Amino acid sequence: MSSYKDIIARKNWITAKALGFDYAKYEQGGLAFDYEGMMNNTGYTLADIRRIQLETGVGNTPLLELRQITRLARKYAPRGKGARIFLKDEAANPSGSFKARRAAISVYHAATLGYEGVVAATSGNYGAAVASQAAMRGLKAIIVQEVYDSKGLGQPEILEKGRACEAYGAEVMQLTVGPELFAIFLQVLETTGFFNASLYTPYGIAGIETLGVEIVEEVRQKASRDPDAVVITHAGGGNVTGTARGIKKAGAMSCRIIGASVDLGGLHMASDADFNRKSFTTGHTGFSVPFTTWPDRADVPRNAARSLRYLDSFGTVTQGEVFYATEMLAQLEGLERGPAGNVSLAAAFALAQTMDEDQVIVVQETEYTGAGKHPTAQLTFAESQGVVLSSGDPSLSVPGQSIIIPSHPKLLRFKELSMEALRLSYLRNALAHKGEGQLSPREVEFLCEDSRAPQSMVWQASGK
Amino acid sequence: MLSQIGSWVEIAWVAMTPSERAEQLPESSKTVPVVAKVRGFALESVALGAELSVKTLAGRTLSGTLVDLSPGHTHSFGRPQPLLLAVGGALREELKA
Repeated sequence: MSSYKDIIARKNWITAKALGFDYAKYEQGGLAFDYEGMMNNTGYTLADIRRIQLETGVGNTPLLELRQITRLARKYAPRGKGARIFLKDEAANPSGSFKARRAAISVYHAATLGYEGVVAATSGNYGAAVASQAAMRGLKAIIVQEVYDSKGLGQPEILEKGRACEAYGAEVMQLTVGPELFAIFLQVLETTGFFNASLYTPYGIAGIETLGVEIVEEVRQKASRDPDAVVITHAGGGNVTGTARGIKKAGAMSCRIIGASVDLGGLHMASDADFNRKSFTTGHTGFSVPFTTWPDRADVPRNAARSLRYLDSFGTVTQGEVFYATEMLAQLEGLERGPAGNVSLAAAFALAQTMDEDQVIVVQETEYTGAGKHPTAQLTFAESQGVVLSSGDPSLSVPGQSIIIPSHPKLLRFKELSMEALRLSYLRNALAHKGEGQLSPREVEFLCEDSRAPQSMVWQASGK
Repeated sequence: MLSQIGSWVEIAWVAMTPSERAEQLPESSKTVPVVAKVRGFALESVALGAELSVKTLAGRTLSGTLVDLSPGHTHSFGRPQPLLLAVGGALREELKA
């Protein structure tokens, strides 16, 4: 058996072999690399990607106007405020989430290169997406998940995602809590010789660009304008990066890119004790904050998901607010959907009230729901883990200890994080990775591109 | 109880011992191993708790301790939640008012 350290030391070698992608070509010395060069070199144009996704029924999901929810938001907004809220119903993709877009290109590419199978490390919808796409293209699939605490108790939502993978014919390797997931995933790549269908490759991100393009095209058609804001549930950064790139490719340059995450502040993601005290397994701050402030913690040499390049603002909602938004969508709009998109919906409900009536805000995804994923499943589980449930002001809840369902729709809030603080944190992380030695002019330029920070902030971070 | 050859079973094994794990783990994770579980078709007939090889859905042969003879999916929708049951009606009233 190899230790975590031994396997991670071989990471770049294993991933290069399992991707057929030459990351070294884009390195520019030290911290710097040619991001756009890497992204433009997948060998697939936007038109190719649309064609590949169409082959397996991915994309072209409906954009729905949430008329009742818009009407409700306007009730609490100042006169003239209350943007029209639209929702991109990504649950209509073959595996029930936008992740099918991400998997489509990776699996197509793996099939083209002649790989026998694909492997992905994911506890989320991406597993089912890879398994579903692999089934369509005749490839084998192995999904490595983090599911259980050390007592063998599984998080209900992740158990459901494992079941879905199995339904599509994938082998599911289920692990107990810990960052070792990535190392064990690399071991599987090494022993099988399968393709690395990582969430963070240029293929995975390019697959999401079509989502951004479709949103712009459909909003133009339905509202005769560009979307003014798109709210994106933010975790590892791929959803934000791919969607934003698509929005810009479609020419909606003034559209605000807003990231939303569930606040799980205070809970440690690698903690065995904290693991089952959370009711959300993705789209939360436990992923989004570390990945925003240091993207290269992923299972590839260079992460293609780099959210600071695109985010105009980023904020949080509470677990109780997302459950409330889930009820709101089901009961007022007749759409019973899973938690991921409802993070953005809770945020959009609050944000719409600050925007003009003729403006358009888009909730960028929905996902399927079912056993384990449903609010009733999560609240039942939370209570069994000692989390106290109540009704009231959700801003008073403490992740892992309490969940407060808003007692009134006016109590839904979007708590913005400081972009400046996130940029500074990114720069500090980058400098810690740099270690000793002077930054080259290209490294300084790269850090400014990657974080959208002014040069003065680079000097501030380095203590100069 | 013995596994039937060809039956659907679950095996488990220690993927990393505490000393092989990543550094800088929170206290509650440091002292426990990383355990892996996989389901597949039994290649041998053994008792629960014995070593067994299985063939997975991806066609791999993996070995571990037999932990379940007929592993199903038992996650559910949970119990009705009074806090959520109140939301729909209240929202409809808000829209009317």
